[in-house]
Amino acid sequence: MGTLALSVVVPLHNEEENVPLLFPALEEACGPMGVEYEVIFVDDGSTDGTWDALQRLQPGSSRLVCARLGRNSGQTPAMAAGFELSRGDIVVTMDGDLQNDPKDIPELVQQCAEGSDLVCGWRRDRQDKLWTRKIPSKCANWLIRKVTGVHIHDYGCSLKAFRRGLVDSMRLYSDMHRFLPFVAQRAGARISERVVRHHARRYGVTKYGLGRTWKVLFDLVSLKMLVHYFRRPLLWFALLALFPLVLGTAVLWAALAGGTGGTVLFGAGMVLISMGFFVLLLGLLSDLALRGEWREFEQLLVQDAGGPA
Amino acid sequence: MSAPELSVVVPVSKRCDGLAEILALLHEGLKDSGRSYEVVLVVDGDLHDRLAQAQALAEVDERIRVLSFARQFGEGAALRAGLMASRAPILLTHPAYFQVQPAVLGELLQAIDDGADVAFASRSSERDSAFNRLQRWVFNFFLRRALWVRFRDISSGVRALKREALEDVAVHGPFHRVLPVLAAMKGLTVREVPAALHPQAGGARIYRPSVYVKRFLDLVNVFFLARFTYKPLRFFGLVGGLIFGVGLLICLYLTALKVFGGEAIGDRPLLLMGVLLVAVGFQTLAIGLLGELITFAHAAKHKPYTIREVVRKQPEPAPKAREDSAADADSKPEPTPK
Repeated sequence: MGTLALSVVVPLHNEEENVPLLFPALEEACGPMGVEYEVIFVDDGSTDGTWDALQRLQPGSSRLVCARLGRNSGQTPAMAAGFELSRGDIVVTMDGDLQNDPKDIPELVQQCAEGSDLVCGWRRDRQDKLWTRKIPSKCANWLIRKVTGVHIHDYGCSLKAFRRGLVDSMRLYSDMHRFLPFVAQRAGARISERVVRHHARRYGVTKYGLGRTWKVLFDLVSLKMLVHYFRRPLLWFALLALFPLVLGTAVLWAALAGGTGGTVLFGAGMVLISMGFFVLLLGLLSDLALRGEWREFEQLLVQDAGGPA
Repeated sequence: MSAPELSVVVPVSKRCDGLAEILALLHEGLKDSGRSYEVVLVVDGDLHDRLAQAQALAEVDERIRVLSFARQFGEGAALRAGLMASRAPILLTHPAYFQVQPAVLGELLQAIDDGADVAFASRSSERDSAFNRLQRWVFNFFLRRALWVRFRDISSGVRALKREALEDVAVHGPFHRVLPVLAAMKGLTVREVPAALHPQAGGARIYRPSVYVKRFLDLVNVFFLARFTYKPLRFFGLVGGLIFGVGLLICLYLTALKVFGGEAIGDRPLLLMGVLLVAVGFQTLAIGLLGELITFAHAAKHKPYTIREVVRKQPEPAPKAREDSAADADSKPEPTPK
């Protein structure tokens, strides 16, 4: 089985109007590169005519692959499915709503080939609503940057270029695509970014909204914990237990020393201490649950920890 | 006998309308199917007379096989055992009591032939007792609210499945009851086939209250797994966060009273409540984090998607329009040797 130079993976959900516009634009941008490449569309459980629109496409210069998922699974799983089907040495992912510009692909690929394992697009000039999209996005990006320590400006941009080695070894699920740069960096991948164009949405409805914020926050907390403590969960829970234990001890002290008739205060202190112990016990349980998993988070997530091919 | 094309698995437990009668129904429903089939009777538990009946029937009919469990393990285990014991590409399950008319068996197989991974019989309720209808309605109501399915009746137990579908879907414990839903959640193609009730299908089924409680808990369980398998922190974090937040507000209020109002708060039960809520909320969050650890450790074993079909197209060779074109490339791709 021969390998191709480039795969372009596009997850789609209800984008029937955008498909016939996107595909020619892709071929127009990638054809001139003069390499063998494939375009992989992943229909993520669309309920409109997206699949039919995909069937009507006729490739001119690319190898076209259209895959259909059994049900709407989300952007990251759809991307993962696209990765599974891809064979290119470099894989580019992008949105199917025409907000990313295919013309940016050759430059991203070039930058990737020049030495990055992951190139992230940066939508410096966003064409979205200010309050509901741009500002929450800016806040989220800032927070993620601070917590993960990876200095990418735009975590939410789907337009990214990956080297094959990185693609093959990532374990993706849920909404992890947002944190890919973080995970990749932990594995030693070289990450760079590049300013890309951004267009306003023409057809269809946006799938994002303000309600995603809390989900992203929780995912961030979870990922941070996993990265640092996956192999030492007891330590994490012990640190966590410090909060109620210390507070409980302080409260007990206040109740006993204060002598202001604080029976309830004493009870409160006991509650806190017992909860602290409970969290410690959870830590022991977590050791049990992860019995046998001695590998670090990165090694599980990025099996090819040796880096780029 | 060469390997049968179809395996009918019948879990046999205490509720049984007569094995010989059920077999007659199966033969009736499958005689026109044009397939070779076997019937696997799985006696679930230490049921001597059922086992004896089953073995007697197996002696006279070579299509029948009998498995038995030393103790009751449940219908899910019986299905699994039936799956392991056969190599047929398609399985049919039918309970050991009357449910639907035999004609539906053929329809279920037809649905599988047409491409479904799982096809199940949905009982039309006209001739059933009012109480049964009410029970079913309530069960399905909760199911529809909790998960995003639009099935009318999933619990008839009469189902046809492709072998791979059963292998893919977890049927341990109480989950076999909602197998069509689990299969749909995985992205498999599930078809609901309406079926008329069998004239001898039993009357009103009234269970002990504990059974209802268990079934309800199972639904809660399935709901949780459906929504939060990959990201348990979202559930626990939200619930824990809310509890923590309320507790924190109470504690802050009381602290403000003490600091600014000089009131003694050390004896107020409200303090205990506030602290308790803070502690419980915190605890719930910690459980959510534990969930994340577990999820992550097992994430590699299951792909979070199912690819239903893939269509590949080669680029078209450029039309040979001009005979006099120069010797430059015709944009005809070289076939990649596979």
